[in-house]
Amino acid sequence: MASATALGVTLPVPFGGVLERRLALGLSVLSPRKLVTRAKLWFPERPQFPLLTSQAESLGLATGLGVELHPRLRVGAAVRWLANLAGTVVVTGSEDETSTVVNDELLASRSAVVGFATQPIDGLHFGLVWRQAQVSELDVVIRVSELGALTVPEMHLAGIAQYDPEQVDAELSLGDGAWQLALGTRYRRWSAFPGFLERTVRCPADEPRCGSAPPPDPNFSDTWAPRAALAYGFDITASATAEVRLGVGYEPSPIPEQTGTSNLWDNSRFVGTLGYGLAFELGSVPLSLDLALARHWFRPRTHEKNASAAALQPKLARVTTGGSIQLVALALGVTF
Amino acid sequence: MRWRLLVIALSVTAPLGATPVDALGFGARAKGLGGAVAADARDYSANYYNPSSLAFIDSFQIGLGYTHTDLDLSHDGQPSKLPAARAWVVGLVAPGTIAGVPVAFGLGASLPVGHLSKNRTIREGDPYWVFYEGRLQLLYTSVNIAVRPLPWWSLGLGTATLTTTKGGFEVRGTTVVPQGDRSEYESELSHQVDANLISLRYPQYSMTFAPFSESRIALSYREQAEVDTRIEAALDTEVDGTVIQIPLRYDILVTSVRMFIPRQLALAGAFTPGAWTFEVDLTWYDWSRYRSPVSSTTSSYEADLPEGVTLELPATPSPPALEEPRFRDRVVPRLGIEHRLPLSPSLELPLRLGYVYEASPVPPQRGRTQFLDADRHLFSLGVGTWWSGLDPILSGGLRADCAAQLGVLERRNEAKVDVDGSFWGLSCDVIAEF
Repeated sequence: MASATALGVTLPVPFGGVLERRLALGLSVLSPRKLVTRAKLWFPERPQFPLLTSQAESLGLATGLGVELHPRLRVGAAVRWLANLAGTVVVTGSEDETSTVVNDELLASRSAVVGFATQPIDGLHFGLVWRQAQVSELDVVIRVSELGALTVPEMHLAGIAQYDPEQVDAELSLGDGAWQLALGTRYRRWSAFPGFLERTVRCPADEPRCGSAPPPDPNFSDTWAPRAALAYGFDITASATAEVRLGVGYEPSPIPEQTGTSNLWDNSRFVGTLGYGLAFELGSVPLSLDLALARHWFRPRTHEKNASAAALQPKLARVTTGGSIQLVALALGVTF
Repeated sequence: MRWRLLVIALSVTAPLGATPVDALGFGARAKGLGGAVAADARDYSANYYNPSSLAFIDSFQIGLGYTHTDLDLSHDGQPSKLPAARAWVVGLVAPGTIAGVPVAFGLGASLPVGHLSKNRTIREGDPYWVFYEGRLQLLYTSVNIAVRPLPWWSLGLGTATLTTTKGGFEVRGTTVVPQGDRSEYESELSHQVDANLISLRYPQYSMTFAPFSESRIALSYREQAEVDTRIEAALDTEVDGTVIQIPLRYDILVTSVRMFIPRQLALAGAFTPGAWTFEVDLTWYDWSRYRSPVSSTTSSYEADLPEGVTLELPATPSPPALEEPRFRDRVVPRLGIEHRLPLSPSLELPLRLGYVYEASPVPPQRGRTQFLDADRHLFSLGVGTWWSGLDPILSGGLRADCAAQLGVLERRNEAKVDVDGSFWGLSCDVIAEF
């Protein structure tokens, strides 16, 4: 089970004059419990659901700026931040003692988000958002010089701990009264994904006989994910309103059938969501409370290995994966 | 003006971070006053010095600054070659009211240039500048909330964060023994990693009293925090000696205390007669709980040697017991004076002086360790400009502040360590008030 805490802040910048009510700053933090990022990069033949674990276990930080150019046109840009870990581990030893020096450096990787929202006519909204690919990398170099007669080459424990592909979201929203209908799609450029692990031994330029093989190409494919949502808002009392929400979607899997020795599993999913939002005043404090429930139903998928891979992994020669994911989110908002 | 704060799962978190600001301060105005601002923090620096001061700030503020510190330290005549500490500083103060009670939300961050953090473990006997190596190269972030239930009393609560690495990696494959025309780079190795970058949040609490319009008293407490590093590694390989192949497994475990932040309790008083501000801060640091940052390594190997074959491998020594650092608690006094010179009805020129004396908590190094530090004097000088009357764009005005710091380490020639040095720093920031 993965759990995370989120903090979001929207701050309209209180300029006056021509800039009055034109600019807003935004900040969001998604923080897994006690975790900044997790690099779970297993040997590829080990059965795993790599996209489900890595994406749920990294700190996500975004800072943004929105500008209202016209009452019917708003643009915005944001930067998303992730942590990359680089370092060296140097092990030296003698007959009396083994000692190690660990140097580590945490680097920030940034990726851009650009979007706009427009309301060409009353009751019709359209938004388009582009997100640059976001990558959290790990690159730790191990040098061991205490194994006596055994000489080990410099080893690079390198790979991608977290990867969000380049993506484009488009959404159309209809309705201004109690009912609201939204239709959208998300394109993800998974074909650019280079793979989770990198070569362990990097070949020096003067070493033509270097034998370290690169990890297999993951061969992911691009995906389009359609979705639709319906919301109905109503008054409960003079100072309290509520909204009921319903959403459906489909998430295709970018991972191909695992016919070789790799066992990177993933399934296409149908997604259904239910939500309820409440806005009210406690004393004179404006509060909002939102609850969302989501369930992802995996489409059963069978992986059949080719003959050579099946001979190496007879128990995994034919595997069918399936299942579901349940999500619960609770949000409390306060305006001051 | 209405701010919107959305908190999911009912908690407040901060990104990763640590506390280089403990060593050098936070914000140009605060640095110009030697850090003596806990009772009278008027800008985003309250996020570090005293979160409850946020509730006394009336205007929404956004601040951006830059700080550079050059180190010129030496031990036994050897220059330290420590890199300069450079960082961008950002801060935000968002005041408002809930049910008529003043509240404020604050963010503060010091972002090192070029990286988020940089650190290293040390071996016993390595010279190690306790306060000037890793600490100055770490990200600091702080998120705070303050409330002022009475006009003369405010409370503040916040968190800051430390990070560490825990996990392991495994390398497997064939290792080629370099002999003849064969090279170790012909080894066919692959790896897997299961490592976590873990965050640890530690809280700070504070309160401010303003019994009279010209004076304030503050109390601020920061909890102790420490994080351990733990790295496990395994090499599971078949040694390819051309004629024979020898299965071999080599395991190693490295542990160390990556960072230690002592408990801190600050008592501060500020007096502001007219255009002058005088402030005195006293901060107690609980350094006696400091744990040794020396790394401990355990290694072992298993080789399945065929009969009649020998392979020279090292012994598997047990790690020696680490020497206790035996640091001492210390109380640090800070003094700050500010005079705001009115140049025109809409322009002020604040001038500042600050002084800090920090006795070193590091005892004489008579054992195997070489923890380097010395008592230090920190002198600071600050100047700024405060423009008001920038309506309607900036209703609160614009501040620009700069501070210069000079730190002088008293020469220390005790036991086996001869320590000397100084450092200087320059910090500037701009704060927009709305």
